[in-house]
Amino acid sequence: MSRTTGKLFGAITFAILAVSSLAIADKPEELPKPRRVPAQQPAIAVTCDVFEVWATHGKGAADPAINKVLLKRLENSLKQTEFKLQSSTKAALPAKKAESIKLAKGTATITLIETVNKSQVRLTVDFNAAKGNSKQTTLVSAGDYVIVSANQSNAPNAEAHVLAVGSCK
Amino acid sequence: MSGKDDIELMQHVDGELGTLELDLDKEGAREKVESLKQMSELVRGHLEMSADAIPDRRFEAMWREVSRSIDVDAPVGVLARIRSWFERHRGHVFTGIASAGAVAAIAIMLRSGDKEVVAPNNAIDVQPAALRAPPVIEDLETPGGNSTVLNIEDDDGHTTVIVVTPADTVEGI
Repeated sequence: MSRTTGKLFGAITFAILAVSSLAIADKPEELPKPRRVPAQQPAIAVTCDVFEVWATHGKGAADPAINKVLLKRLENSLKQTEFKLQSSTKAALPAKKAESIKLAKGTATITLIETVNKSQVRLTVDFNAAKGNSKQTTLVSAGDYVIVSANQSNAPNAEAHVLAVGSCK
Repeated sequence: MSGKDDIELMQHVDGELGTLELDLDKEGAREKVESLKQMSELVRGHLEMSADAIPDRRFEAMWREVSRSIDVDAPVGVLARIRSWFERHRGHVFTGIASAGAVAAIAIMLRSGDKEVVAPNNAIDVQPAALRAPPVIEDLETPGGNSTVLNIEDDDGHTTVIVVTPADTVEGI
């Protein structure tokens, strides 16, 4: 084979390689976008519903903004009878990263420590209520709730600042 | 023995003198002839071994070159020339295609490795309420307050309630 023919083959081979590489490099954009996460960001492992509720004693009026499952749990577990939704968030929780939750009153941070057995999450909830603080680490199953009710006083008709975290999936 | 005699001896060994007679009775002539024959045998054997060492493919290529140079009926049309070119360089074309395929396979493998970044739809599975384990509070701090923990179970699942009350007052007062 002459030197010219060798160069020609080298050029053809290189062109084929370049074209195939470019064609393949363009392919990732065709992947389904909703399932795609940029490589620089940590993958979202779990999303949890977070509800901020103000609980008072009254005639038992229910805020229609509160879903029925949560309302039933609040009514069954707290002394207060009226519940008004202050804020709600669907929090995306990256693993091992404290996620600040925007509240109407006070502050809250939730940290997903880990997932367990693919059906439970270990969460640390740091709740600085309007009055009273709490910080706990809980192992909770997907779909269940952890509710922190910070009573504003020890009076029988004390109002409560409530943070409900649950329905994680 | 003169140089002319040596040349004649070599021609004799090579069979180029034909029927001409050569005087081998001269001093050393017969030994020289024997030596030349042995030398000729050595050279021929070496060349045959070298020829055997050449792969058949190279021989085919060489024969193609030879036949192409002497072929008076060489392809004249464009398509015929292209076909002839591909026939002559089939090995190289296949090598190029195989290389491109290998690179494409590597690129596809690397791209499939990138898929690990893809997040699952559901990181955890929601089991039926009856199969769920009750929540476990592993650590609880209520600075400046008291806490009461309740675990409630119903058809919808489990609920852990932490009631925090201020520590500076007494309930009911």
